[in-house]
Amino acid sequence: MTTIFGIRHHGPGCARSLLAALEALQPELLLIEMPAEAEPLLVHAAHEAMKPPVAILLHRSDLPEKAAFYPFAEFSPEWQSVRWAVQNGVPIRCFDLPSAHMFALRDDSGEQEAESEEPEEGKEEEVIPPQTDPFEWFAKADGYTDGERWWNDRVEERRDQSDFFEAILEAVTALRGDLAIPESRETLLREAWMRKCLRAAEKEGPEKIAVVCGAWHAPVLKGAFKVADDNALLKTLPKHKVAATWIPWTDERLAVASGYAAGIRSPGWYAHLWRNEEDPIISWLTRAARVLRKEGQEASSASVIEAVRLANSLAGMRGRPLPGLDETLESIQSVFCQGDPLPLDFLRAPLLIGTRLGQLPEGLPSLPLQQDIDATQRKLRLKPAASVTPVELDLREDGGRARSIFLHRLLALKIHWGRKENARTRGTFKERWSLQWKPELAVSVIDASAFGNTIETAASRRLVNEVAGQAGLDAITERLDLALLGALPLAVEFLLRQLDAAAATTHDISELLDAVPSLARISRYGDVRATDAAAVSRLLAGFAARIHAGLPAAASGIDDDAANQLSASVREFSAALAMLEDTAIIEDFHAVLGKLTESTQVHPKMRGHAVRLLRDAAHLDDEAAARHLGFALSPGMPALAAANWLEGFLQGGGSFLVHDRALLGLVDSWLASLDADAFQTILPLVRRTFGTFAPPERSRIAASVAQGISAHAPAAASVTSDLDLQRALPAAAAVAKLLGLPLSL
Amino acid sequence: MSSPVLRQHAETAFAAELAALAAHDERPRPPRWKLSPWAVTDYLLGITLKDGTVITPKYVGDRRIIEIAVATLATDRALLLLGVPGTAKSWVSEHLAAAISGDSTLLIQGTAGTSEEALRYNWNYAMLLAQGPSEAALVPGPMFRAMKEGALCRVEELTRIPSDVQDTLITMLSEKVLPIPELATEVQGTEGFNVIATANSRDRGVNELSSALQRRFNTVILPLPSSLEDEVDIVRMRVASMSKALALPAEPPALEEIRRVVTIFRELRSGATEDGKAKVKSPSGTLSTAEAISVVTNGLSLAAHFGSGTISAHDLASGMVGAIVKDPVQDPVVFKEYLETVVKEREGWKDLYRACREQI
Repeated sequence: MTTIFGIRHHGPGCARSLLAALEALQPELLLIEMPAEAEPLLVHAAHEAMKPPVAILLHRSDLPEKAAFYPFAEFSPEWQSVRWAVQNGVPIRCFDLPSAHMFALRDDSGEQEAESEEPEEGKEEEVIPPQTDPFEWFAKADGYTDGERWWNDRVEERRDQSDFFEAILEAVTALRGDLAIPESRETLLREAWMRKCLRAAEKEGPEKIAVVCGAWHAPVLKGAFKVADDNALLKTLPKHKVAATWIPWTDERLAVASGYAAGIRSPGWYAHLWRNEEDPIISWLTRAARVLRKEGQEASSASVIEAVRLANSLAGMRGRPLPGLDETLESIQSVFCQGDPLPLDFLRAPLLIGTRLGQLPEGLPSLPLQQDIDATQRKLRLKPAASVTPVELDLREDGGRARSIFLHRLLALKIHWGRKENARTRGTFKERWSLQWKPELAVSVIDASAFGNTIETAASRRLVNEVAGQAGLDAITERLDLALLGALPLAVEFLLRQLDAAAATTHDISELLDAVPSLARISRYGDVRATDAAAVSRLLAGFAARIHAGLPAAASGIDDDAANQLSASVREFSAALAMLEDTAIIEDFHAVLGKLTESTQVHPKMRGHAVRLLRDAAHLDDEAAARHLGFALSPGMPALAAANWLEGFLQGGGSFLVHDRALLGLVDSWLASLDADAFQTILPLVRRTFGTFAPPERSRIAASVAQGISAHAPAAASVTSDLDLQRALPAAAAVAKLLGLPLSL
Repeated sequence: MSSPVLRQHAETAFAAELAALAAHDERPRPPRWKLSPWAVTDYLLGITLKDGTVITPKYVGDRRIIEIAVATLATDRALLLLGVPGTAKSWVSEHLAAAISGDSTLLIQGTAGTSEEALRYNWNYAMLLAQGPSEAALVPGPMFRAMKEGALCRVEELTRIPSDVQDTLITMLSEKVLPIPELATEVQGTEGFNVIATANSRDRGVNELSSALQRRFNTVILPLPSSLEDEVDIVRMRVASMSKALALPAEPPALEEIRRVVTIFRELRSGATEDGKAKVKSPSGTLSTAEAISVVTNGLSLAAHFGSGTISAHDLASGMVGAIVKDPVQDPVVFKEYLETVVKEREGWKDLYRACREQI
């Protein structure tokens, strides 16, 4: 005898009823609506260490990105039935159309092609064709506005569970008969396959067979279907090789908002219903109150009582057996939030969706690369979590360095677990990352596994492969950075050769400029296996020579945007050279900068910036800088050009304006000398320039201006105050000792 | 019988509907409720009863809002209706009181001058001076009577009442008791007693409710009508009932005219045209649905008494300008700009454009 249990994926009421029904039936064989490839994996479901949400991932062996997921939550009927079967020693058979055919079928039809680019394939999960929800019809007949609510009330949140599956089977049978919605070829094939498997199972002779499948398919598994028709339909199906594995899943990806077609509105609510069979409402509202309290909202215990009463009263008015998600949310809004819907957002992640990440037992068959990643994660104590975890790494410590290398290697593999953020501190020894493990990263891992079986080899090979064909300097530099930070010497060596080749052919100075900082880092600090330092130096010298030759031309006749970009790049370049301490190159560079400052063809911003760089490098003294400034800001110069010059000059901080009153005086008197029209023209530019300074810098400059600057007054004048030398002496002595300076008074 | 009143109370105006609902109402009723919560909801939202009696909708909008309000009153928690002016707060509260208690007259109007006495009770001072405090000398207020009779008491514009006076409500709401210390006695609320308060969300921060008082209320925010169609419906319904009450001889306004007024109000209120293509400036007034209703009624009255009897753009324009231009300096500029950039370009709106331009 065969009993068919038509279910809806993910629902606590359904799962509970199904368990009770299986317990009562005690079947000898369980057929479940999953592709055959998943069958060997199901036995792991009963493993102690397996913690849902988890998913079975099926993918084409040759094209890992062609993949389909079968997620399970703890409250999924399939999950509970599989666990029940494994625990009770009942054999399980997966009787849905194998993915081997499914992937091949999708390849055939062009419109499916686009869809399968998305890793999420909810399609075969679905009970119902997406265009119309058949449960809408039941809902309408029953006085509900939508099918989801109807199913919730009638199925998920009901207490009495007897005869529930018969009723569903009957209802869907009638519905499919009456609606006669034309099914897609895929659905027809799947249903034919299911019938074929069911017949085979029945022939083998077990007395009692339980079939768990989507409610939509339940009516067509038995009845007047001809064996020959089914066989004809299933003849010569195309096929691909498919691999299957367990992967951890998240609550978030169970939600319909994540784009999962068979998703549910609130996984958190269902999980709560599953775990709290008795009095779910009281504990739910208490949890909500605690979340709101943590966010600084008022939510007293007295309010929880009132919210429970309101929810019950609302449910009563709407004729529902128990308050549902809507009633609880409405009472939370009305009682806790003074009618304001905004605080409900606080509940979203912790309560409505949930932040759990599934866990897999160790030793499950998985890809070697995945194993390597798991092992490294354990070794480095970086636990994957579904929520965003900030991590700060101190690169002076071995542990921090190892973690940084690991995360960079994953980035090189395009496994975007970590996102690098700008460190708040200025120092270079700290890195800030934010880590968030998402289920789709499992696909990235499979994708990356094509490049190798360990993180290191795969990352190296991926970087090398990606640049092998292309000549773009920036693409190479970007990967060179990753290779360096990820400590991948093989890749570094190859990328350097590529870079050399590409540099010879490029005409774009800014690309060259941008490549230098990475190179300088290698040359200065070396990398783990000591890449041939001489080669890098040679490369650098070549780069510098090309840049020096091209820079004056590159800085001439360009527009403001290009000048902005160029001056930023030149600044980085200059910093990199300073780090290298190669005096020959630096002298060359300064000579080029000197040329820039004099040339009238060069964009004023670049000219100003060149003066600034020379001054910062102490190549120009203050007097010379003041002369340049005075010239650039003199009345003969068009106001706009002057303002641009000033912007270039002040780029990268204006703290020296605070100290060098002569310069500040020049700027001040230039501004004061402008007529109204000119002032209006340059005001936005100047504002923008000063806007980039740090607020304390700005306020100090403003204070100096307010005090009144005399361009002729020596800068030191303001320092003459009545110092009490006697009292200052011990402090000065201590400072001198710290700095190792001789103290002379 | 005296001459007919200008505006009847809800329970009088809709007596027939309430009676019909009560006759069909078989569901359990909370103590002293005239109707069951279901019937109250139907009364507000409108329904056709089994025998064909049509219950007109009193509130057009989200069913959930009314359900929460009624469910709140059924739990003996006080109800606070919050919203910008003209979102039918008082209207809903009046009809709730009429449907639940059959009496919407127990009303306290909140003002800056509302005193504790208005919320509690007053004295017949002549008697008080002559005989000292006694029950005979006590003059009960609406709240007092509502507690005794087990009825609903309405407090309008709760947030206009000074904060120290507001807090008088706390004991009444939490312990359902009104103490009379002068007589060393108290009035205990009987079953069925509850409070519906309304507050204007534009008043936020004037006399903010203390958190102790806030906690005694379930708050329901009444939103502005979400769609143009809803709002046109509301205006049409109200104008029809008002013109009947005012006995205006004019023809009922064409739906198209109402739609134009509502569209203009909605666009100026939201700061964007309905098609979302253009940004417009918002004038200083609220431009609520209630004001749109009065513009149309006003236009109807003009058409009836001075015009052709059919409402024209000209009849609407003066009322509209009056409703939109509240600030004599800024609002004319805003409205003119709107007329020039939006109304002028619209197909078939030329008459309205010209009529408005003449007025401003």
